[in-house]
Amino acid sequence: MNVPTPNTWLPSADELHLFSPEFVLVGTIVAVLVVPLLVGRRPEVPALIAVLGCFVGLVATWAVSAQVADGPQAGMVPPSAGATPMLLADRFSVFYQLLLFLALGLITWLWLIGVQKRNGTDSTAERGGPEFFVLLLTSALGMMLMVSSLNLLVLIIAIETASLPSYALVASDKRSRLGAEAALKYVMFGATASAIMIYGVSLLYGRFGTLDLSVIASALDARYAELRSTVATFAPVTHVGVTDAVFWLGLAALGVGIIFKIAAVPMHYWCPDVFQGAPTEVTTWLSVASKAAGVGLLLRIVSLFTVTGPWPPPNLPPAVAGHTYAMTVAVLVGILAAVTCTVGNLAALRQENVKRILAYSSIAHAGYMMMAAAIIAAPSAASGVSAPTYNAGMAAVIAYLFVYLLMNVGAFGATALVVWQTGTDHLSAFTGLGRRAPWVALPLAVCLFSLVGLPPLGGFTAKWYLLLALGKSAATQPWLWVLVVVAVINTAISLYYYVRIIRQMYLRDDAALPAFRPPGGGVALVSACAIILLLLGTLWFSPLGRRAQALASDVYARPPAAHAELSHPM
Amino acid sequence: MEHGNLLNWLIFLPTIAAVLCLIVPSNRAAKLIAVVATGLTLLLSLGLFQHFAWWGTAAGDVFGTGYGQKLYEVTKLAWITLGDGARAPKIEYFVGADGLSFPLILLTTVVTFLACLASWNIEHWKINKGIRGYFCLFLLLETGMLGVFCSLDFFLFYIFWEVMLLPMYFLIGVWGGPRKEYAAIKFFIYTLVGSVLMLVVLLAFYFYAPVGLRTFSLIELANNASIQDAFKAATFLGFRFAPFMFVLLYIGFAIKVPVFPFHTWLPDAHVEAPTPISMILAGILLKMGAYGLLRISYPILPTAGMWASYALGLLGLVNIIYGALCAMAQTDFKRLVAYSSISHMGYVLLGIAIMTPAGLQGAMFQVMAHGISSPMCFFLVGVIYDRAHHREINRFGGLWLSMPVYGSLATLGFFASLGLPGLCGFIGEFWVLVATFSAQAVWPWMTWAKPFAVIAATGVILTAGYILWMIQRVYLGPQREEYKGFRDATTREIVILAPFAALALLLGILPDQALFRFMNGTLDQITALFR
Repeated sequence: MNVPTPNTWLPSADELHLFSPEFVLVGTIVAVLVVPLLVGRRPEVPALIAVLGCFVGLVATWAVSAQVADGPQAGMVPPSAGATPMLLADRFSVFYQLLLFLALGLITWLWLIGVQKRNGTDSTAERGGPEFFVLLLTSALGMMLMVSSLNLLVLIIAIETASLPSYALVASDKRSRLGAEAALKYVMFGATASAIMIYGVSLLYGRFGTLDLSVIASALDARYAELRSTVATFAPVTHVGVTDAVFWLGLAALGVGIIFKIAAVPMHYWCPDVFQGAPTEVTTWLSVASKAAGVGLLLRIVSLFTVTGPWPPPNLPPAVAGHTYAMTVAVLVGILAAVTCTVGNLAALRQENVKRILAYSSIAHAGYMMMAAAIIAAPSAASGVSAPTYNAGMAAVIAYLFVYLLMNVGAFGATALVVWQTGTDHLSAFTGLGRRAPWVALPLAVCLFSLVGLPPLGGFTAKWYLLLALGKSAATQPWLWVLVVVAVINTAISLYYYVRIIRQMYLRDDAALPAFRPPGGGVALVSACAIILLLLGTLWFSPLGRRAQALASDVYARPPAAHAELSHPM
Repeated sequence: MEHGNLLNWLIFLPTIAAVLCLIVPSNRAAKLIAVVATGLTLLLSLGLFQHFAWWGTAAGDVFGTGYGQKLYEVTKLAWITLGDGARAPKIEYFVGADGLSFPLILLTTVVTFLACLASWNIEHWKINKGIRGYFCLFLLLETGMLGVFCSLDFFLFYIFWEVMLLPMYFLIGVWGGPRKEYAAIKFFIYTLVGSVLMLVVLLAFYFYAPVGLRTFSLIELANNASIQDAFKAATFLGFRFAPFMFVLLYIGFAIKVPVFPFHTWLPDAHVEAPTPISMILAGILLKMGAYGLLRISYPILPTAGMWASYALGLLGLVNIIYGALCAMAQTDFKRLVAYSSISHMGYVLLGIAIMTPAGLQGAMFQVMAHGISSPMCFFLVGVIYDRAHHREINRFGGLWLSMPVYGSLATLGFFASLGLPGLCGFIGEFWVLVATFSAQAVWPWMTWAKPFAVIAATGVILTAGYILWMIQRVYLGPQREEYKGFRDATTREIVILAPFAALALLLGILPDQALFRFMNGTLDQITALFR
């Protein structure tokens, strides 16, 4: 094995271009650190740079989307023999970049309002703008890489890049004891989850002898073919041999790390405490971006197991077919999804703190999104006979994430406005909000009803596409109907706690509480979210679905090993 | 199918007015807009008579030869289409009126207009804030209700069904009585549970149809033989498809009707809601459950309807008897009327359960009759509540002496509800009882029908019992000192009560000319699907 000298590997310009959004982000991080040294530590400066970075990043993403229009591209191949690409750029990752830049822009907006609001009440509030944005942007970088990685090592680095700044962000309000406590809990939980995950990756390496996901995928394919060919002597019991036990253990440990990022059951305990303790901007960021990246990663990993042959396999009796990798993963993810959304919704019912309510709500929504992962893993008849033009599960998640971003930014944004005004995030702070600040209460009500999933709002649109995808796949996997039923029953359960906030705003009032004028920028932010949600539920119902399908149209299951060879002749 | 825009105007005129209500500067203007908009909607809905008023022509010309053959004022636009070319899910904005929806559309516009007039004194209510919001929600509610009755696409139906929930929650929750929060959330959660079950059925109907034929059109689902065959043969999670779907749908609609074990939201919601909202709740919202059964459950899953007919008939009986007994035990005037609604809707359930032409006709007549008498009763209760500020039946007495005009109208209204011959309630109940008694002529296996009819008939006695007893305690007897100074019904109150009284008389005296001939054609087509 020849050891490459460092200077022989220089990726081509095309290859670098594929990852220009990430580079823009790195550049922005540097600028946020350097520029305030030159012009002074005013809070507007880093915010402005971050917004500028988002714009440039969006343009870069636009350019990449043209590059991946014909199919996924892979890059960053080390020059050693037999090396495979480390990173992937396809429409799905482009969507994530768009989503994250959009979220970054909205969070920056919210942060800026918060700084002005707090400076008005407390002149000593020095919020450490540059530090905040360095951490925020770095975690965004990690999240982008999470969804693009093709290699388990890159995956770990990406997850850590996303996680470590998040821990610090939670404690970014230095005077908040609650924040410090939350950050500590987050670190402890996160470190444990990471350790387990890395252990799992090492097991997977031991089983397959590679860190490359596409190689693992082909190995699984080979194993599946082997199972099919030995059908005569095949028994479900023997198929879980020692090597498979290692595989399952490694996979489960890797899953722990991913589930921690998503905050799905059983790794959800950190979520309410952290969401409550963190500054509201950070809570918004964690609830949207961190969760979205986790879901994206889950979809990538789960798609490794998609069976590419016809289903059910012609020479396998159904009882045996049910024991293949794909089915096992699909059922496990499905159970996890069902449990997650049920636990999230039930736990939210008795919360008295709005941020905790929304935290549990985000756990429940993670459960809904994980249902799509079950679709992707579940083998479908169509995949062998006539390939579908798009991946229904992916499309559903894309639509869901976009709507989820707006709903959560709207809900947390309005909560932040109330918290900054009243100093508390207890439910009682919302008493009579419909009278005291009608233009905060109304958009918040719209966002909450959208989170329930009531038409004609965006939340219903998202849920509808998810249920449609489930129903579609249920043609070959009837058990997916169970997920449909679980999802709709959870919708009814969730109504109660969302309506508790609305009841506090509109049905209860206390004449002693004064009306207040929320900052105009904040009202504009939450109103924009509410209006877009209303449009997504009515006029943009169909466009949202079409756009999501277009983004999912070439996201087929496998990491494109073959494409990598093509695009990198060198 | 005859295309037209009338229904679009009907559905969205209130929406436009709702937006106007929010932006006009004064409360008075909002009130005026609401009354004008609901009045205009009422006038527009009368335009439907041009299609259905037939005296010279044959029934076939009006209703066509089969279910869904002849629809009026149809608008059919592609709304949501997705990928996969020709096999894409196609959700349409598909509205139209036939003999089933026409009477209910009219009922909705009439009751909504009169309820809007009943809201005119909102400034004098205990909770009189947010008047513009009230009328805005009120108008949105009308959009939802009309949308439900007009839509012929299951998805669209579902959307309107849910759209109706939000305004109702706030109308009860903000402007209601002392236990308004409890009543509002109870209403909301009950109805949402029902509607999410409907969502499962919506998806299952779509995906269980053969691949090329998948549709959300309610007409197509009922008429297409291949879809029907697929539904009959399929299984869902190990259960037979049709009965399972029927049960899910039935729970959804039963909550709305409400049918016995699902009824507990109704007394709470009725008692706490302000008078005009009670009128709408009783007059229209309850009818949506019956409409849903007749539009969706029975035409699409007729075999499951037969499978369940005994149980459903039994539930109808329970409703009749249990509702009447509960009503008898009430001391709160509004609660009494609320439980009487449960009892009266039992006849509707019984009439539908036996699945004969006469049964469906009786059920629909009862739907309309109750849609007229129950809002009237609720308004009558509201009138004395405005004056006395309590609703304790036992504390009233001799009201007729101090309020002669009101007393006479009240007696008429409650007699209509009781089912006195010559008034609307009688025809509906009688028709259902007769149909049930003779159901075995159509379905020989329905051996239980005759005993059911006999038991149901005792409900009439119970009804007479609680209503006459109530009239005696409230309106008759010696005049009480504290009610001596009560003003008689004002002009506004008479204007609201008179149309209800006139309709009750009209339907009671000329049942065929006033109602049966407008809907029997379509109802017979639906029963033809059962064979």
